[in-house]
Amino acid sequence: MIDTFAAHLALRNRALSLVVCTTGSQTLSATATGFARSAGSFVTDGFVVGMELNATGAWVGAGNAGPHVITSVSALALGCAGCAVDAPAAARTLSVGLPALRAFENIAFTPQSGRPYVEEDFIPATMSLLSFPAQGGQVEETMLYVLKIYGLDGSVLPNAGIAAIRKTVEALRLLFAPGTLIAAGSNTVRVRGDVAVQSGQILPQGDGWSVCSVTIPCRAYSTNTIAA
Amino acid sequence: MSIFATQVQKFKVHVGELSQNVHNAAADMVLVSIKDGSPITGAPGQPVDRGTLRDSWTRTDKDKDTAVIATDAAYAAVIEDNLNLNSGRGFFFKNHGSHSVKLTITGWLKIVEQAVAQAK
Repeated sequence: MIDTFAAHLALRNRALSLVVCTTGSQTLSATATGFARSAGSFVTDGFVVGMELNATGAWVGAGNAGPHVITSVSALALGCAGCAVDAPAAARTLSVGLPALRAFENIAFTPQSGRPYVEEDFIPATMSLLSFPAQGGQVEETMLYVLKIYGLDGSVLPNAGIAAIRKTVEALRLLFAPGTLIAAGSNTVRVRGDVAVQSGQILPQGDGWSVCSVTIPCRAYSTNTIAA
Repeated sequence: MSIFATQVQKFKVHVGELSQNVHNAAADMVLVSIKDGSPITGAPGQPVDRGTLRDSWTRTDKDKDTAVIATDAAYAAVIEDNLNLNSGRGFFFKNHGSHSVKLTITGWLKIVEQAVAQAK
């Protein structure tokens, strides 16, 4: 049988590697109202209102490094609260991945108003012995990994729209494309191709969030060992 | 009609009956998997408090080849995806659980396998 603990962590770690969009390391600056650049385009890079970016690298201004919700987007500027003036400098990156607030299983969590978050469910499903004899036979196990992306709704961010949530969901679908192999300890978890990764409708929840689920059906094979 | 043609005709009728039996059995198994849970799919079934959500799931046959398994409960999607905004975590169910529809869908081939085995 597979190690479901390893499988769960492997799926979670893959989700944590998500990059929805990024500037890459380059020369960026900050003002009291957000981040700026003098070359390239935030629009072309894929940033949209409602995304939560993570500012990393050589930021100096208080509060600039770390997560910020994007409230406006233009080619050369991103509107974000909680920024301080930072002169242009190299080796800085703005990127969007999985939200920084994560309701992982069995971890205490409280949503924070005005910030997106993600919740996970890992659901082991079926186990079948595919070959004979039982001792040493091949076992197939199936499971679901469900990620729920909670984005800001229009009551919190009037121009939020669907883009931030949908782009994150689409990036997750690509990250878990059918046939993706994920090492999980001594086993390999495979994203199924017969019933592949799917996303749902964006559902308004009230109180500031709308949610969209991404369901990742997986299977893994192992050798059956019957204890003495 | 020749003897062979007669036998082919009987075989055709028999296959048709078997196909219909597989269809009906599979549709029933889908409904059970979603409502009550199933070891075939691993679905936990609908959580039960007063039974309103569980009983809202029904099967309707549009024609002999099409069964519709659906619910009209507005909160079914919330239970299916285990959404609970206020706590930031899913619900705590006293029984059964969430994701039964997804698990039934991903377990469809196992349902068909079981339905075919029953029809033989």
